[in-house]
Amino acid sequence: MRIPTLRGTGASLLRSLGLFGMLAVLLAASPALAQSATVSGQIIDAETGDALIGATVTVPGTNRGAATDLDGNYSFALAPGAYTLRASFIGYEAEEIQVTLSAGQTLVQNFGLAPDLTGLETVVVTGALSSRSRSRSEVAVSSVDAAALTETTPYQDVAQLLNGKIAGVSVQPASGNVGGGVRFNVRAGGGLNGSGQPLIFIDGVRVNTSEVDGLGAGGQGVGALSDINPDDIANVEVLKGPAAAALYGTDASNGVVLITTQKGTIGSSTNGEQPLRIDYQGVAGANTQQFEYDELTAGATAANANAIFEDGEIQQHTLSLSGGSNTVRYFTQFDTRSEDGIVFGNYQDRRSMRANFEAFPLTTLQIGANAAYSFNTVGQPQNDNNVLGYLGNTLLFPFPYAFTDSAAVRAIDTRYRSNRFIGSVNARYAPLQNLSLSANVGIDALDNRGDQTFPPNFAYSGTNNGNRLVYTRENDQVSFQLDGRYRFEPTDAFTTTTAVGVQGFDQRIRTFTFSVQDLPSRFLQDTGTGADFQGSGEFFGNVRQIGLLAEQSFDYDDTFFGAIGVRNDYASTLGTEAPSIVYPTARAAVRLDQFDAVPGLFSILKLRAAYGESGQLPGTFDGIPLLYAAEVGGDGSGAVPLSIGNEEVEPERVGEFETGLDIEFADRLGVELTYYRQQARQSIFDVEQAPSTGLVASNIPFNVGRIDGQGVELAINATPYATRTASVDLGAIVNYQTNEVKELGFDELGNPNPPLFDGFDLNVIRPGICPSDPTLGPDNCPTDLTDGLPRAAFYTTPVNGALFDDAGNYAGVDAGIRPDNIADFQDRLDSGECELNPDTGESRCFMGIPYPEFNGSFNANVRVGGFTFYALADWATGLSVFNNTDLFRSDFGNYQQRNDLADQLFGYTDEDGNEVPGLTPGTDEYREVADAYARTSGAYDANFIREADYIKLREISVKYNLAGLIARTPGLERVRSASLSFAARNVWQSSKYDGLDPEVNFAGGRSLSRGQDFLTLQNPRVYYVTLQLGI
Amino acid sequence: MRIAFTFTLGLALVGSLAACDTFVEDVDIPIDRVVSDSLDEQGSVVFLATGVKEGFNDAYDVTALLSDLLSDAGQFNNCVSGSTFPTYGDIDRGEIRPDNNSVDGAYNAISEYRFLADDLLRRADETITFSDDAEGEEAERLARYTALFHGGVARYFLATYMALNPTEGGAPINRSAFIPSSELYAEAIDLLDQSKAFAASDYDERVVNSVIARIYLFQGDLDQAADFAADGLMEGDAPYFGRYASTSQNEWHAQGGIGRTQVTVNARFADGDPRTPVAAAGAASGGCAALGPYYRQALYESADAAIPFITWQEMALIRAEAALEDDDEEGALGFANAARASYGLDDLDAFDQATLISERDKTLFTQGLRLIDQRRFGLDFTYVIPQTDGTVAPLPGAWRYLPLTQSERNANTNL
Repeated sequence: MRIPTLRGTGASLLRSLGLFGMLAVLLAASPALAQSATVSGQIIDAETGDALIGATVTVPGTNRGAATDLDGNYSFALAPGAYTLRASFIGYEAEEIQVTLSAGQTLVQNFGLAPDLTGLETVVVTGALSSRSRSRSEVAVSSVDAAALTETTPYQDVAQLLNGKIAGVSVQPASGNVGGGVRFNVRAGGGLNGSGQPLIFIDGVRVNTSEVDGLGAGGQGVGALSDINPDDIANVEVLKGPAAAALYGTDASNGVVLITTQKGTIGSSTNGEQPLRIDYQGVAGANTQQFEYDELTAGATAANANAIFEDGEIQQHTLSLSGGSNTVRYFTQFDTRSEDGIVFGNYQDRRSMRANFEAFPLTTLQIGANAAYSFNTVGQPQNDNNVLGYLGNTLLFPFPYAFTDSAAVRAIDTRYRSNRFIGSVNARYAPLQNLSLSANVGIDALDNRGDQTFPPNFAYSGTNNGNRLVYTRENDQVSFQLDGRYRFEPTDAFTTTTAVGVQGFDQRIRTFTFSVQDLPSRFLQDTGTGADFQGSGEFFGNVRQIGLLAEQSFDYDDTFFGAIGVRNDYASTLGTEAPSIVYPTARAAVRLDQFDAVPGLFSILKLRAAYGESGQLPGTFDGIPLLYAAEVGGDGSGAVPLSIGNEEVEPERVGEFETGLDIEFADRLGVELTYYRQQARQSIFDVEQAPSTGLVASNIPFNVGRIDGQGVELAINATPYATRTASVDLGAIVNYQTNEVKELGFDELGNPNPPLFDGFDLNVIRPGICPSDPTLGPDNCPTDLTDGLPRAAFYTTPVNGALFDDAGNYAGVDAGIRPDNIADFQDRLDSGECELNPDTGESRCFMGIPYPEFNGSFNANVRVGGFTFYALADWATGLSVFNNTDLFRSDFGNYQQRNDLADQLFGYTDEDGNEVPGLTPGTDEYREVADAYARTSGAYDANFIREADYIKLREISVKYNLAGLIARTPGLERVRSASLSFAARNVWQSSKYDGLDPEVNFAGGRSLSRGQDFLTLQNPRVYYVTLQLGI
Repeated sequence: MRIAFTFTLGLALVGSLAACDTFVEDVDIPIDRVVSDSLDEQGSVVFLATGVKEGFNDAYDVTALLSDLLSDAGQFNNCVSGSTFPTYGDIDRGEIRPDNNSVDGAYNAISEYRFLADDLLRRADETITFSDDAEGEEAERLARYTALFHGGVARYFLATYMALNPTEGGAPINRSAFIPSSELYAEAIDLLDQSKAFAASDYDERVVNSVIARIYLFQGDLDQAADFAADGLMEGDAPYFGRYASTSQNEWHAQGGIGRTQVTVNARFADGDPRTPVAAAGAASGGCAALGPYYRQALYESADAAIPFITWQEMALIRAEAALEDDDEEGALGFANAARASYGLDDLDAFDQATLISERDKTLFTQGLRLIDQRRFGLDFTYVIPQTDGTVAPLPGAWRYLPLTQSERNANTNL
């Protein structure tokens, strides 16, 4: 493991921040308290009377306060005067009280906090320079109490932890591979550029979220998020778009995910003596095949396809220690999880260790350090677009292993090992009353090594007696943030906060590949033993970004809230001149429940609105006009073009307006309703050049794209029943999202740039067109342009049915729009859903979108006695999937539906050798069957684009709290907590999709290809049993 | 205090603006790529010229493979183990859509090859300063010969294999309007002719003449073809090869060879003729074995095997064809038998057009020239129906060239 040097970054950083550092020193003076008073007391749960350990009492606007000890007691000093004391604790509604202290006085002030059943009192991050309780936030912020969820369900990764729990966000696994890649679908998708993925910060460190795919296993990669142990996480907050995330700058247009890991807590109060908390969690479980293949999904080889699946064992052990005092707290955790997937060769073994420290050496100073190390090994099976895969060899032909022998498939070994260190240090200093300075610097150092071996003495297509491929990837990224906030109260009711900061990022990535063939022995895996060198290569990239940010916020009478802010970003990828870009933000909220006209049943009724801008940076080399690389071939090493850039390229600019209501009704029902509208301008569109220019090495980036999106998010949570011994919590999320590609620019003649297709020529980025002639631009079009299509829409040649010859015999597939059938398509041509190129005769029509138009989830949590029952179901509608597996099965003769139709149409020989004639050409029945037969032809993608709406029972769990049992058992007095739980994932599904799993995508989680099921491994059904013990 | 705080922080931020520029510009440079203008120096000529030759290698093997697949020499049959590309099946049937991404591969390779050659000539004319010494002269000679010769060959590829419509050969250059094959051939001959002034050896000049001879042959000018063939490669000369390496594989090996056989060859080549070595191709499971046998080329048994682009034997056959045209059967036999002798084959006793076609079919095996002979001689376009026991049917599709790709049609407004 290498820990990268900070020297390069640090040197530039110091130059950049010299004045800022001087400022910090300048402001470091702090007056002392004189003739102080003391305030002390106890904080308890108002319903149960239990002491709340770790709750805080603060004086808003100052740096004064204290946390409660094991017995819920607190105490701290204040100068004489009038103050507001605020008591708060996670999961409880904060309480404020006015007090007046005189010199030498000791005031006892107790608090009884009521549970915050709707979560609206939880303080959340609302931007790079701000945090507020959700009841005061001007933007929609979602949060997930990860620690509570992981107590019962041992999630494989962060993606599973988040899916279905956040309005406006879904997280989709690209395949059923354990350790595989995922795709975040955030709101309407932001702009056109980048990977479409949110920024993810862990304890202030911007972490790498790439899908690592250096070896090739048909299309899937390894998700960098799989290195992160979900059990480390305490809380996740999600800013879902530029309206909230503008001050995070470029790359934040798809939102920001803020992960906070667990912190030290003061020890147990059960025995009153133990300052140390020790928790153990042991998990046993299994990944199992979720869907069985049958004749419809696997033709004659269903049994062979089902035979590749096996139950994969899961084991996990987690041991954590936490504790501390009012001045020092620590949390450490060791976790090991080993897991086999549902096909041979797919596994994940992850060991991780975390150590978090917090110290409060002065009442004005808080420092912390977080460090996590993980060692992860992921084995990948061959599948997807691949003649070496399990599914390709058992589904396509009506007999198994047509391409590659089963033993050869099983012998392929593809594995990635990662070493990852994520660490940060932070400090918060309050030199003056109302002034705080904070700093956070962190590193994500991720080393991957991939090894792929095709052993000798097996036959692999394109391989000469075995193959060894080694791939290494070092990704080191440093991120930092320094900021200062000054709070000012001109009047008792009016408070303003001025905040300024700087946020920076430095990423260095280096890769190396080396490959040989003709291996001497399956026992030797040294690349040096390969007699046939295949190739090697290196890559190095260095990207830097820095942003200066400022925000001015105000609160008036605890009723009106607002802020304006701006960020000025610089990046090394912005052409040759490193221009900067400015992103503004403005937001406001009003608490209507503070007005007398609003009924008292509304404990919170808040109207909010916000606008912000962000964007995606160009690619690393997009700003360089023409780059050459060396191609090594039969004539030696020669110069060939590698990429074609554009010096004038700028970042995309995505603006988002959102408005919404937050409601808390009778302290039991919480509603969050948000409407948003996004508009991406200057989107970088990689314009394909005519190959006759010779510039085919890459498309050329231009800031010509525009895409609009909008949507509605509704999140409801309710606690209809809650007592000390029982409670019922219900939740629902409903999302609607849509987007439209508005523009891709025009060539110098004013004609539209051609649309961009994925590698399979199916998913498209296409704006509105001239309905009379799609090759014309708006200046030449006799009518208005039509609406554009949604991003990545399925767009291909329509199939009309069968063609017949003069005798009525089937004569092939009737596809496309022609003069003789154009009337059937006229409405869709006029609307732009279809287009007909008058020059080439080619026609295409919109066939659906590979992500849902509506989606959401329902959850229920019922606690009764010692039992807690939990269930989560999620659903999606308006979703289409391209079943490319069936297309290829059709091409290779294993599509039973087509074979049956062929038998009807053309006749067949039965088992007894009798000729069974086909239908009579020209009859209605013949024509009907012929049309159906044409619609099973693999020559046209349109035949295999399916509706794929689904509802899934995603998670269930039942947990039994053993505390009562322990309390009655002699000798177990030191046991603080214990529980036993059972959980399951992917329990049940109902779907319109005629394949197996509508969530998978053959090309991983990052490609333009989306919603394409092509020999892709289904997601497993997972079972867990968990024992938790705490002392 | 608040004013002081705001003022000081504001000052700090303003002062940091310039530092931000420095911070983001102070990045380490990449190691695997170089800015194009950096190569505008005499010392990079060999690197650039090698790049042009690699462009030729990349364009030639894929074009030869697809051309033979469209002709009756090669075939796609998904009963052969490893044959999976639907785009190959479309080419085999002549039912080629403009978005066929296998054709993208060939057309893009030819186009980049053309660009590399023309761009080297531009550099030689405009941006590279050659020294006045022998080293500078040699660098300029290499640059100009490479650029002119390969600029000609690239245009020959475009004229011979690409088409706007199924039977209308030609292609655009640099987003131009469609240029018919005849004009592209004329440009090719002009460039090739110019290149001879910079040839390093007589052999190089004979290679140039050989390519010109082939172009005249394809245009039906047998007299010119014979004249240039006479000045072309002579007996004993090595072929001009497309050269490959394990890092840049011979496409016939990669897609129609021992490793993976997606393109098989017609059974007529399995007659033991030394010019057409073949080997059995594996059948997919099920009933496919019974429908075989299937054959693959066995000329290129390793990924780095070179593919002849032009040979003295082809020149001999061009001269034989011209002689036959002049009713000089004896002369034609002499040329043809000389070529046969180089393979250890017995002399022919008689020579007619059918024999000529057969001799070319075998002598030029896997060189992508059968397609042009089918067009030139008006031969039937047929294909072997996959998953049958060799049933031959007329080619269902209309394409006799590879279509200009959808990318070209989309982005070239002059088409």
